[in-house]
Amino acid sequence: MTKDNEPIEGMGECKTPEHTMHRRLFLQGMMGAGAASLMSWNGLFAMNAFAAEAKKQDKHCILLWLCGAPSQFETWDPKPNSIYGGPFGSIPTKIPGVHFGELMPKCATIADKMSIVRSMKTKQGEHFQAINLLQRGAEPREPFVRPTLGSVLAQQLGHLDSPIPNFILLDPNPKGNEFESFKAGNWAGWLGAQYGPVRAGGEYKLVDVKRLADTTTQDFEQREALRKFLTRKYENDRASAAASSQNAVFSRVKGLMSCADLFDLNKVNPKDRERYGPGNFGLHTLLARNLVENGAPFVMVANGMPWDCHVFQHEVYQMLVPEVDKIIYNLITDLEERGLLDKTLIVMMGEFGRTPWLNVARGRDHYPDAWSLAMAGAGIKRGVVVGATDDDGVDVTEKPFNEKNLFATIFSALGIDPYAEYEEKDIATFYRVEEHAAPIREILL
Amino acid sequence: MQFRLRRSGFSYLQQRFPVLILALLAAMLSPVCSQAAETAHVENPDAFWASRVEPLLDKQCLKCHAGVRQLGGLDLRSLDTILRGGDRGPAIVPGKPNESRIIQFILPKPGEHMPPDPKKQISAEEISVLKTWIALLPAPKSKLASVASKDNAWVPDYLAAYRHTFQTHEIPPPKLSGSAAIDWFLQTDWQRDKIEAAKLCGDSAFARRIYLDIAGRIPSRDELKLFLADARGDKRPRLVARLIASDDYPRHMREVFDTVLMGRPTDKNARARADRGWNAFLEETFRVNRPWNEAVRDILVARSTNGPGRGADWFLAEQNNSHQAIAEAVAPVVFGMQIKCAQCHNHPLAWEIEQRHYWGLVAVFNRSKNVETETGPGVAESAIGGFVNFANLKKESQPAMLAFLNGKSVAEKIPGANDKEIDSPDLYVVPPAKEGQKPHSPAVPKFSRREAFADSVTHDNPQLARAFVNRLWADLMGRGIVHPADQIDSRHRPSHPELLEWLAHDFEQSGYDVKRIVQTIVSSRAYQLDSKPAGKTTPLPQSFARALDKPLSAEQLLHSLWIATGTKVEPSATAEMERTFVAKFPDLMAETYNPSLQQALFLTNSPVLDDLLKPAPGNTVAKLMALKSNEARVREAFSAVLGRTPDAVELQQCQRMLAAQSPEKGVKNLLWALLTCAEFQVNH
Repeated sequence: MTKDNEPIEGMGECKTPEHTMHRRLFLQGMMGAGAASLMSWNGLFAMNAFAAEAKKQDKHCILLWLCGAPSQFETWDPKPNSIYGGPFGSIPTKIPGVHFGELMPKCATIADKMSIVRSMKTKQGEHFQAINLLQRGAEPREPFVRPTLGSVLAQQLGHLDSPIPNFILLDPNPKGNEFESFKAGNWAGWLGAQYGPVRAGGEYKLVDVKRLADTTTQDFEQREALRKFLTRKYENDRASAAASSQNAVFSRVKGLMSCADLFDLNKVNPKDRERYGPGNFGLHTLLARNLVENGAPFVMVANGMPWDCHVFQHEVYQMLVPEVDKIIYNLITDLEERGLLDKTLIVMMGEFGRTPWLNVARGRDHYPDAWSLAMAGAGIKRGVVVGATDDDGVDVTEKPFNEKNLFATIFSALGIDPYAEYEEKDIATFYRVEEHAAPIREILL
Repeated sequence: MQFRLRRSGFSYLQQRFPVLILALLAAMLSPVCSQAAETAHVENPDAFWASRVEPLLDKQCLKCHAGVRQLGGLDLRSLDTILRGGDRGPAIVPGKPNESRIIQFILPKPGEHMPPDPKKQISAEEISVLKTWIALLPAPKSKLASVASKDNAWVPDYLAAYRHTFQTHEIPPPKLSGSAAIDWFLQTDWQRDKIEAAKLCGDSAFARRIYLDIAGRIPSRDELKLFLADARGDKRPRLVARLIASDDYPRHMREVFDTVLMGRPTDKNARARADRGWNAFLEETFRVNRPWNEAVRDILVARSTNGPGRGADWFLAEQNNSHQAIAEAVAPVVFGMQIKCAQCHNHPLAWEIEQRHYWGLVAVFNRSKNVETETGPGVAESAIGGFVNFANLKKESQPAMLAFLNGKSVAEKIPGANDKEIDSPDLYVVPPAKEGQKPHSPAVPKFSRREAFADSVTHDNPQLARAFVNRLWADLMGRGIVHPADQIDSRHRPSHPELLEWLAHDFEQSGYDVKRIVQTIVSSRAYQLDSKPAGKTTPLPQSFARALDKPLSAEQLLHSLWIATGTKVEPSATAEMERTFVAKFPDLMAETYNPSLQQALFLTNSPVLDDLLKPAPGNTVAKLMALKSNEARVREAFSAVLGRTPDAVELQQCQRMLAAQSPEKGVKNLLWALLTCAEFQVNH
């Protein structure tokens, strides 16, 4: 092959030009009228004109996704003296006058490193709809599919030429009712498949990460270049979304093979592992910490839907809450020790809260009317509690915030324009945050 | 009662609904005239409901007035429930917006009105949408219908007439063949929406598509050659007929419907499905073309130890005595619906799916139990017991009755609180064994809930036909007429309701003839369209104006890889390879196609694919290596894998790649790229 047509130069670092190309420019250049006729081997790889992409700030985000929805009463907004406050008391924290649930002793000691929002008020009390709402930041408007938080952050914080995926979903549990259905859906929405998650962890082990003995680097690169060329040709000829998403996953293969060890649970430091506890959620949060240390822009950690405790909540919470208390504590202190806390936003939340009253099975049911979440790290003030609920936690009495306020906060904290209009083709007018909703200014630096 | 309505335009409305005109005029003078102007084109209140009213009620009212919470007894999810009304009577008086309770309640005013939250008032614009809709509804003839009355006795007659007028759709001219009728329905829509449909696909594309869809694999090179050389005008229908009669057809249909009916199995269950005769039952069903309703009956009754129903009982048995799991698996098959979320409450959005249906379906199966007998394992059924209560979110408890989603029910005497049911051999055709003994065969009661249910859903149940036809359409056309294919409920509207009804009716009338309906769909022009869009804009998938991408299933991919690489496989090795591929590519008709990184890694680095690319006597790699020129190798490789000739650029680039490597390496890399590119990985 002549030098001019060498399509895969530098692919060892995964730096083919289209990787660094802005998708919109790509669409304009390639998908316009007569795209098929423009399509050629050379054309495919000679797009340096578009390669300039705004230098991205070195910011990261870890979302501890407490799916199923944890109770605010046993965590961030205890009401030990109300009639349904439950058997657990509250404990003072590092912030004078602020108490957490007594199952969170470790977080109480670092409350001055995080911010708590006690006045979340959303409108969806069904898991599937609420997961969509809190993952995408706005109500659905069919037929358009809004990208999830991770996809937006992958696009905004990620480098397309990085070997580590820009959106990593660590969710060891393949099951989980509505969350399972959500996971089978379209994460990246109108941003396109290259911003979808790479799923790993648990049963989603990354195997086949080593090149076969008789396949040389040259074999690997040449055949992959041809595969990509044929697939893109197919995509252009037939406006094929399937082809586009296949190229998106294949484009991750090379990079991932170079950093597969970061996903290997057997290779984490045993001492770290002990600190994060034996559970899957802790183990994968530790993995998230390692990935962020190595440059991953966004990692979401979940573990099915364990927080949906309609039955015997108190018994289950005696295990769940201390576990997550330890995990949050270790994650925040570890990142701080490594000088990464100022660059890394940690968001800890579920899709809604739990009812102030108990049901007959001593569980708490779904409650979007008044709930809590916590944030720490990049762009977030330390030791602030914002919002309040009434004595029984039935309603927000101070500063209600919804999912749009939350998303505006996350984007602002990470230095991303919350109100930018999406420029993707063939969609209605959408903004990163709709209705110009204000961020939660009280907790922003 | 019937409304005299012609499909006419504005003048008719003017004469009939002066209120509407007033509303329109008022709206046009107001700042929201662009919104209201749209209504001038709408004459069908049903369409207006779907496009404007339902989304509005969703947003503003359903939180408190729908499935889970029905404050004031009021359920606002459909015209039916709105007219049935709440504690104060029907919520609207059709044709009379100002006399309708709902309008009176939402008008902004001090004191009691809706919505109660002062920050979330319904805007003037939204009120005018509601008013317009009510005005579009024909006024009822009954004098009972008035704002002053709680009486809703007039509603059933009104709804029947409403359906007759607004929900009866156009039908194709008589004597069209089934496939011509499909095209008539689709083309009617394309013309109306000014959609340019793709052109007819070429013969190679057709052959690949039909082999994948009916035989579950790509055609071999010889099969393709034979078809392309055939000069007869009716060669496509001939090929279809031949494939449906082939051994590949029942295998492929078994693979598809095994997954559709039961989902992908665990490793253990994959073996059980083979060993317990389930796979054989499905294959035999499709091979001999048993009527679909009979096959479903066998699945539900689950006791044939001999004959064509043998093996059908595994459908119930695999659920391992979980009666809820059985109910959730049965609902999509016989009603085309997902009922999971009706376990704890009525479906929050689809009003017709009620909690009592969920528990009714559970009760059908809760006398069933997996048993070991002398004649093998089976699913016994008791003659007594199985009377359960379920509670809604308000903690109101009620007994689970045998009442089903198709409106049918089975009457059963419920024993009183103090009656103790006594099990006796008299109640059985095949009685259960005595304590501690192994029964000869599973118990069969004289009154069997399973049989009673099977009878009421496998005859005169349009939902059974609809569920099957929509599934099959999704499998062959890449998307259901209702999408997702197993959610045919009031919240998932068909893209072509008339077509779905027509197909379901045709299927029912033909005696649930599966081969015939497969043939009907694939013989349509719509099935044979090209996958390239005709114009600059890509038509929406639900228009079916081009062939949609269908990512290959695990089995299609594996069998096609074998053919393309010229690999001969020992039948004994097939099952294990299939399990490997199913584990990697579990999706079938996924709502969203999400290929995973793990799949890409598998195709890139797994020895499984690599083994197929090692030269062996008679395989494709060896044949390509034996060719003299690189050009010949490229041409042969394209032909073997993609069934087409390479274009000039492809030819040039592939030749260059081959020139830089040894023949073995070059050929291997070339084949790998062809086998993993989208053109091979997708049925198009």
